[in-house]
Amino acid sequence: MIAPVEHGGLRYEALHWAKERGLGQNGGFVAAIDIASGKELWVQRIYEIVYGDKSPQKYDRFITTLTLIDGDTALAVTDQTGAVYRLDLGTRAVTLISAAPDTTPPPNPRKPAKAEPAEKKGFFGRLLGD
Amino acid sequence: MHDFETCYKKTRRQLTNFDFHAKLPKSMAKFNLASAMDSDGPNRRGYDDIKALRAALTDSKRKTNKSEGEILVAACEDVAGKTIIGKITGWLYDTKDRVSAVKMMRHMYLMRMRGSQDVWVYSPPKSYTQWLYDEFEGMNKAGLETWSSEDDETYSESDKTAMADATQMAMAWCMKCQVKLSTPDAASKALVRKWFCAPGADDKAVEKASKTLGLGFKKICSVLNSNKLVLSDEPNDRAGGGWKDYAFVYKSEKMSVVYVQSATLSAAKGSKMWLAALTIVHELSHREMNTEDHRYDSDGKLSPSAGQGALSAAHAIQNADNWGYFAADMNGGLAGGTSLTVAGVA
Repeated sequence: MIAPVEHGGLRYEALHWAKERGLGQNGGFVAAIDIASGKELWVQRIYEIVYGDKSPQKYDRFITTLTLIDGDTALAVTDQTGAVYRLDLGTRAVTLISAAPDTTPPPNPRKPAKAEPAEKKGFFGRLLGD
Repeated sequence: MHDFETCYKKTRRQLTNFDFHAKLPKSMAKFNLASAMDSDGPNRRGYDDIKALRAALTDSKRKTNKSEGEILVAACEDVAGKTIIGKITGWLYDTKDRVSAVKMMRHMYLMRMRGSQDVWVYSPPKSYTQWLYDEFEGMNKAGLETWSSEDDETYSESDKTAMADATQMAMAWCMKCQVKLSTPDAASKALVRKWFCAPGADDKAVEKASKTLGLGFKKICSVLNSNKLVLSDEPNDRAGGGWKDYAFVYKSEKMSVVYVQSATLSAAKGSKMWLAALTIVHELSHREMNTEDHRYDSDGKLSPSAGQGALSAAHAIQNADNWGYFAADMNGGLAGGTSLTVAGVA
């Protein structure tokens, strides 16, 4: 559970288990709750998760921080991959501030390089050969 | 290539090809590796040949002072390639594919569990970040000799033993669940209520949940008892940052494969064998019962009876962690504190 953010009588929370609510993905939603009444006013999707063939937990991607920015008019929303989004609290428009850092491992220096592609000889060329 | 099954089937095609064997030197052709490969998964009857292959590679390295890759490539080269027939067959069957096939078998292990059950472990070199055939794609002979020499495997000996022990525990749990759910006694019904039923659920709801669970654990037992379950590395996922996770399955993969990752190994080797066993049950419930991940143990209140914020009964029966924790609880595998923390009720 990450720390909610309060501003202007509202509490903004990251909604982790949205699948339970029929929202189709775990992670990626922010809910706004009226502090006085406890009533949930809206839920906004920040990013879409596309589930593939692996076990579902491989795709779940949760929000890790919520921070008020831009004179408290917006929230900066960070997800597990490090991507940061801006949620405008007035219009609920979402924009990507910065993409997730590239975590692709560098190529293994011990791995031999691919050979230059050989000239394609076709079937009879192969038969008649070198 | 993205899963074990695709790699396995390509290897099987290579190893069951007559020309392939005809071209192998006698030193390699004597190993009937294909006998370990049924169409629906590996078979223990060929395991002696796999062990003999590993021993021969070790012996050959020592005697010839050559690398494993040099030995493999020499054994798999198209030795008839200078003839027209050789060129035709060489065109059909590439050396690097043959090396991939033998290399795959060289990294297959049959782990004996207690009783007569076995589980297979596929443990490729940890330097590989793709499935074998992709890993060797585009390499010339020298590159192939170098890269197929890699032998520092993803899973250590203690990892493999721990994986087999976790599978053994999962199987014992699931068999007990299957038996208990066939004619549930009061204690079993109480556990079904705890993990799957809304507060005050009537007997009919408990019976319905028990029936679903009974069917599911029967299917899971069938996989665990099949001697064809494979615990595998998934190099693409590992290299893409997934190694930190517990495990996963490909739901569409027909062969029974669970991709085991570091968190499961840490649990199994760090006095939480029950969590490793629970992970196996969790993953097999995804495969066999198409369960979801509505909520994980770390967020608690998995029991529909846990009050405000609890998982609903409808979601609990679809939730993989509920299946895993139920199996553990049925077998006394959970410490009281863990059960309370995760379920939200005692």
